[in-house]
Amino acid sequence: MAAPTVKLVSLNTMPRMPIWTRLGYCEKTTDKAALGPKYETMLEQFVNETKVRIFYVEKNFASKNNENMIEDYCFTSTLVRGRFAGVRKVMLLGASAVKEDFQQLLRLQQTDMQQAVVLDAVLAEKVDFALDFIERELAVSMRRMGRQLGRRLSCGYGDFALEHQRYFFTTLGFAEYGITINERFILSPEKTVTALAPIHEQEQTHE
Amino acid sequence: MSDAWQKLLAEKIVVFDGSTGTMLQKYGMPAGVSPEAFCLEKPEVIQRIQSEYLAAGSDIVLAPTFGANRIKLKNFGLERKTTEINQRLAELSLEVARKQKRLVAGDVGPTGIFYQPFGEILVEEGLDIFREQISALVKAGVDLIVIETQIDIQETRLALLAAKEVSDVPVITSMTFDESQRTLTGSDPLVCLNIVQSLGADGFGINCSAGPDKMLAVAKRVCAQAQIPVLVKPNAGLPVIQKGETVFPMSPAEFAGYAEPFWECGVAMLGGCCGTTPEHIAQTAHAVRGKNPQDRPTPLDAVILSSARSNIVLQRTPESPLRVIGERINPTGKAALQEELKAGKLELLKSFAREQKEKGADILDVNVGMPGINEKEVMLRAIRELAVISDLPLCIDSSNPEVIAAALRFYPGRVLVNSLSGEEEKLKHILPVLKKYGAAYILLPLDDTGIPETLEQRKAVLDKIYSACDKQGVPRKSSVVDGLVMTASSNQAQAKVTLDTLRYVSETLQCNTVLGLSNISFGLPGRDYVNSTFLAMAAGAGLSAVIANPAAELLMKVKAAADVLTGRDPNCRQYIEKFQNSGRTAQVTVAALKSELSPEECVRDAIVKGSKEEIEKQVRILLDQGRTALAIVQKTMIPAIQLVGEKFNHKEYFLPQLIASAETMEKGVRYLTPQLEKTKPTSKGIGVIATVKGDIHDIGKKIVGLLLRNNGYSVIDLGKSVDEETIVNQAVAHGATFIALSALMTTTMTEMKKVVDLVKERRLNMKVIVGGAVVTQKYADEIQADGFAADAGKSVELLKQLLPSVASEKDD
Repeated sequence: MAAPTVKLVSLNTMPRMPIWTRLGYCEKTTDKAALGPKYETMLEQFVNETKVRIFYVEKNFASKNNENMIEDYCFTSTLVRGRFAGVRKVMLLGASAVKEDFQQLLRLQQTDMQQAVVLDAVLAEKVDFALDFIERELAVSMRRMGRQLGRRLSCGYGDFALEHQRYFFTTLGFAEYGITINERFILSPEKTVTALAPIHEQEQTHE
Repeated sequence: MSDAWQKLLAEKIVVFDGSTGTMLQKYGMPAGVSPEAFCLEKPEVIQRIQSEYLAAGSDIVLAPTFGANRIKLKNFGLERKTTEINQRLAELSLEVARKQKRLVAGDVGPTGIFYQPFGEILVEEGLDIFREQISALVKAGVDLIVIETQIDIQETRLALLAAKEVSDVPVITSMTFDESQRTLTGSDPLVCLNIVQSLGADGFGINCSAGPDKMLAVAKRVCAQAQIPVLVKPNAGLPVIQKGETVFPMSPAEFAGYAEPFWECGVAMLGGCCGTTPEHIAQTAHAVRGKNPQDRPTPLDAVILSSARSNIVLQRTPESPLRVIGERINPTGKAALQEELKAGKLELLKSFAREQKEKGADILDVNVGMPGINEKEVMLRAIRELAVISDLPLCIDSSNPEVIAAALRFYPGRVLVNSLSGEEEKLKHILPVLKKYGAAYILLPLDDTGIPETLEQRKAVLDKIYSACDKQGVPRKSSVVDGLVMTASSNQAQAKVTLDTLRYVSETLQCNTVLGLSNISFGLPGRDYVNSTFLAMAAGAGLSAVIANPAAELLMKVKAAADVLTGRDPNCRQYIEKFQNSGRTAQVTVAALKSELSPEECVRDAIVKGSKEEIEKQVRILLDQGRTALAIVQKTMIPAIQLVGEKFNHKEYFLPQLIASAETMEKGVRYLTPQLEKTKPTSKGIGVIATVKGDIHDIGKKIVGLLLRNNGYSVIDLGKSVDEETIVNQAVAHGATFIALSALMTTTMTEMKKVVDLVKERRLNMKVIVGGAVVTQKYADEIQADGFAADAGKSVELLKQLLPSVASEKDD
């Protein structure tokens, strides 16, 4: 079975607006003059100096009756069954802030709350962006083979229960990178996200 | 046959093949297998596909080696056969193509890993990976190498460098740009073009990513600047899913309809990528048949430097402003930086980079030369950091050719080397490095005899250096000539020689110029005036760039004015922007002084603006004027923080501003605490706050606690992942009137109900309020909580409604 691919990336070209929005900035109403360059500098520094680790691995998938199977992992979810109908392969995706950056966030929460909220927003948006990034990167190589990644779905969404996060945790090899999971299936660093995406394939001409 | 490609380019629009992967899949290649292994097992399939493309009119087919690097092959346990696989696949393609006297390109795809400085893999490892693959392809006899579908400029550079190190066959580098016209890692097409063109790529390509419609705009921008032939290989549109299967929607006729527009904008080579078939290629070939290749554009008379994300253009003509090369990253005379570099730290260096960009630097000079350190090692570490944290291109400043070579090999952009001179040792060691990496260079018109005193002597040295450059194939136009500033206090006549040098280089040689400015004022008082005046004079003499400290305010203002007066700031736009802003600041300051805010208004102002450094001073003034601490808090500070809350709720303020105000308020209250304890003010209510059991999210809860304390509530923070027993027991122990609970996950919000149930079971007279990303009013109602707050600001409002107001103590 193929091991997950793991990459450490800076992704400092990510779009900034989602971070500002997460911080409550509204282009129409927030007083720009009052902001000054301070927050922009802070945000740029965090975007440029933090990193995320991205993980992905391709697995076989089958859906029969009421059950879905990723390799031999069996679970029920009508949402997954509906969205992944006819799919034979899936991609397990994950992204996590690196431990050092998360520790800096914890330190800042004790010493400088302003910086803490900005770093918190940067890390949260960066891990989300990391999933978009992996999808787009994979799309380039998959397209060549007439394959395409479908819309991703995260544990905890609809009836795709959060408890499946443990399967992602194990399969993507999170433990090796210091990521932990608690009894409520919450991943730590808390800036860690996972998702499942269907792989659609091209029709073949058998002659 | 490596000349054959150049010959073809001179004669016609060269047609490449279409998609190999899509065709392999169509002809039965199972999903998930190695395409390379499949082609080796079934050579007849790949040879049939290539025959179809040649029949359709392809002048060149790509060997099916896209994923034949050791990293990709490792996924199939084939990494040890990398050389063998590449050779055999190239031979299969050559067998088919040679029969029809057509060409074969070795196809080099991305490895899928990220290299330093953006990833973890060593640059030398990357070079080794590509050398292995490309050597095998060249050995098999391919006519050219196409490095394609690249998303990362560093990987592209490494593949190109590797190709140049192992062979002389032409190399095309082709990259993938998304809808935003950038690579996935954020590089603009013109940045990529400048980097690979200066590194010696023989062609530049755009492939995959989108259909021809979307690609045309990128092709137009690239063709307007490319001095090398441009290849375009679009997809047959973007794939769509029909009945669960992937389908490329663009028909061959529609696809071929873009061939003429591509030719019109100057594209020299056309082909297809994902989803294209022999029919797409046949119609494309037909559309460009008989069309002559377009002339390449006149080269831009400029030195273009690149980071991985942006280009900086140095030009003599009025198109670009006088550029500032920030000089701060240099340990000379900076004890703190010296200490840091010796200790292996780079924090100060990084802060210099950030500050200089903020102050208006266009390029960062990097000099880490000092005794007691390994300069090469520190330079590489510095570049690794700077390439990631800054989008400004670098000027590599070292007297050691080995350090310069290592920096150029590593940096994912095109740098300016500081410097080349006519000294024999420098010419011998630095010229080959400039040639190999295509770097721009600062040229010092001096030689082993020293600094020439007259313009005529300087001209002679310049001639000598340029002759050496010509011999090595280093372009004169990549030079930026240093005017060699001498100290005015010791020889005033030399200032004129410097200005004459600038004029000669700019007007007669038509090359760019630079000055290391501050030397002019050495030993004089009022150095800012001398530096700034000399800068203005030099700008008038045609100066292109200055090495200076961008934090020098007067200098930067003079630079802005000089840009206006030399026509380098069209419509005075930059100048007006710079001075409008500073004018406004000045007006605001004057207005503030004139309005003479009352002491109460100053306290209010400090809180509303989040001026932590002001608050104690302003509160002290109020105390000195006889206000009581309690009155200051209740009548001035709380209304101020309430106003901040309102601004936040109306989205006039965003979260960091709210926090800044809250922390200012907290600091003010802390300052007043000794006096407040004497008057024992009544709290609006005591409460405990916690993130519920199993949940580790903390920051939102901390913000709520801070705001509640600001608004007169006493809050005990119990932390995160706290069970219901502890929460309720602590609430009782502290005599709490409310419990505030936070949860961010659906799996943990159920814990909130346990707390509510326990409070009810024990019949405690306290309110339970809940909040957090997944919590809603509906959920709060379901579990019978007393209230729900959507954000920190709303929690204050909620408690005001839930808890009966406590009469404030009478102000004395």
